Amino acid sequence: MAEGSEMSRSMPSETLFAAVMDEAPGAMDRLLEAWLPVVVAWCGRFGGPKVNREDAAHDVLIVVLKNWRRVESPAKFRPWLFSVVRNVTSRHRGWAWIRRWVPGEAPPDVADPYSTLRPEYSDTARWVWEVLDTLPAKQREVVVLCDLEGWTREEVAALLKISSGTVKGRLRLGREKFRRLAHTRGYSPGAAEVG
Amino acid sequence: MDNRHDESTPLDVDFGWELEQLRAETQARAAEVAAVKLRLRQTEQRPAGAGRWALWPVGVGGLVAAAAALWLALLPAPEPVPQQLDLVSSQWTSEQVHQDVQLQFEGRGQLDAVGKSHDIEWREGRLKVSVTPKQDIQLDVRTPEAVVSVVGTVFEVHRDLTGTTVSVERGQVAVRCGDAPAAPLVPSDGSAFCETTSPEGRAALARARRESGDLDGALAISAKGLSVAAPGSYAAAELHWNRALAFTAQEDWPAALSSAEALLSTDQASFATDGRHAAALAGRMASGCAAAEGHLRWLAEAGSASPTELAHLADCQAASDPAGARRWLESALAGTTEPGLAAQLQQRLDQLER
Repeated sequence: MAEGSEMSRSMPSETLFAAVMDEAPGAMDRLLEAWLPVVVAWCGRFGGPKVNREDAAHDVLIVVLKNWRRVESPAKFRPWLFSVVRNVTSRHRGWAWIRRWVPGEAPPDVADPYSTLRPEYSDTARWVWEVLDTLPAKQREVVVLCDLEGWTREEVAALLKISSGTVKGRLRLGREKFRRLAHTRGYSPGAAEVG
Repeated sequence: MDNRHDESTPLDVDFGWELEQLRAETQARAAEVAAVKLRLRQTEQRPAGAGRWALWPVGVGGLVAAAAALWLALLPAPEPVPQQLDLVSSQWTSEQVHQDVQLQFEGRGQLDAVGKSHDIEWREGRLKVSVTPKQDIQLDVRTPEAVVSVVGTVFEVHRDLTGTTVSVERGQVAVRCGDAPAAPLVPSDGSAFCETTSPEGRAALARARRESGDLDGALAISAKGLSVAAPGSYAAAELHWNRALAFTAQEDWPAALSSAEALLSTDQASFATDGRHAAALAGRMASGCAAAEGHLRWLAEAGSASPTELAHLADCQAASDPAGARRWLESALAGTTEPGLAAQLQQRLDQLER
């Protein structure tokens, strides 16, 4: 499992969190230093290819800096951060949708939503991301968490504050739709690897 | 569709390599993390997404504004946050308390505002209010004796001890004095005055009326003040004092005596001597020595009696206590520098000798 995914499932240490709550010098910087890579990755994965994840991550941090006192304990930090990311990326997806209809020269990330992908992986990543991006938000969320980040159903249920059964249902529908869309669009598992 | 898997089979069973590519691709890059950190340091207070719109054509702004207006119209209005502000200044000060409400003031009061609703409690001094018309601003200025309501105008409220004066520079206000119905006030009306309702204010107003020669007005205001003043209070004493002086000026001696005795019954030390002077004069004029002698004796024994009052006291005692009367006349003679009065006093002394 990738380093960022492991980090995203952890929580800030009691000591660091207590230091942040006490507004100790440098504590917030250390917390953000640790969680910023997670925020950037989440913004990309939940925002999809049309969202500029640097912009989204920046907006997430602004929300965090304004509202971090609402977090009551280290255990609640990760679900809270995730909810912030979800709200911000949802808003950015809305902007991206609006920008599609605006006349004139579009910014690079609107003209080519996949421009932020690394060139060497773009062919494969593009179609996986494109298919993920067409899933309904709630299904995409659990598919990304479980199948891309490797979370268990129980972990996702705790993070999203929903039941494990709901996670299971959304996951089933999301996977089913992913496979159907991939098939419809002519993507074959392993084709990119071979090609 | 691949039928080798049921619907709950993880995607990485058949799309493992593809997902791994995406996973690797969407890891945060060091350059991205550094860029976000740098932006955060530079623009921590920047509104979300604001910069990205800056270079877009003007049409984008219009479209977004229209979309935002539609969105806002469909959203339930956010709960306005109550705001409280002390308005205290010894100098003419300007304060923009809302984009459509400007206050200028010198004095003290307090503003309570919720959204477009503003309630100002003005206690003392001058307050000028400017409200942009037709912006649905609701604004009331309350003083103890008046409520001034406005929708869109420029007006001024001046409150002192005697009451509240309202004048309108532009537009129209509704002025309600106490429990009376609200009356409109426009610039051509000049100013409206709401008389104070506090006992202290009425005492000040009564004094002002008396000193200007409006004795009936002073008596009426004093009576109103006494109806709300606490018995024995300083304000009650001052109101009785005003009435005693007004009745004295009208030469209504029984009423003056009654007011002076009411003043003395308040036991306010600062009015003790003045009350005795008023009661002695009114008592002597109303009922002669029977009513005046006690007050004259109090003044004489306190060393506060004038030579005339000592002479009156001597007159009252001449029959019953000639020696005492002689003593008061000698004191009066010693205390006067007026030759005419001195001659009269000496004549009375001579009569007593005989």
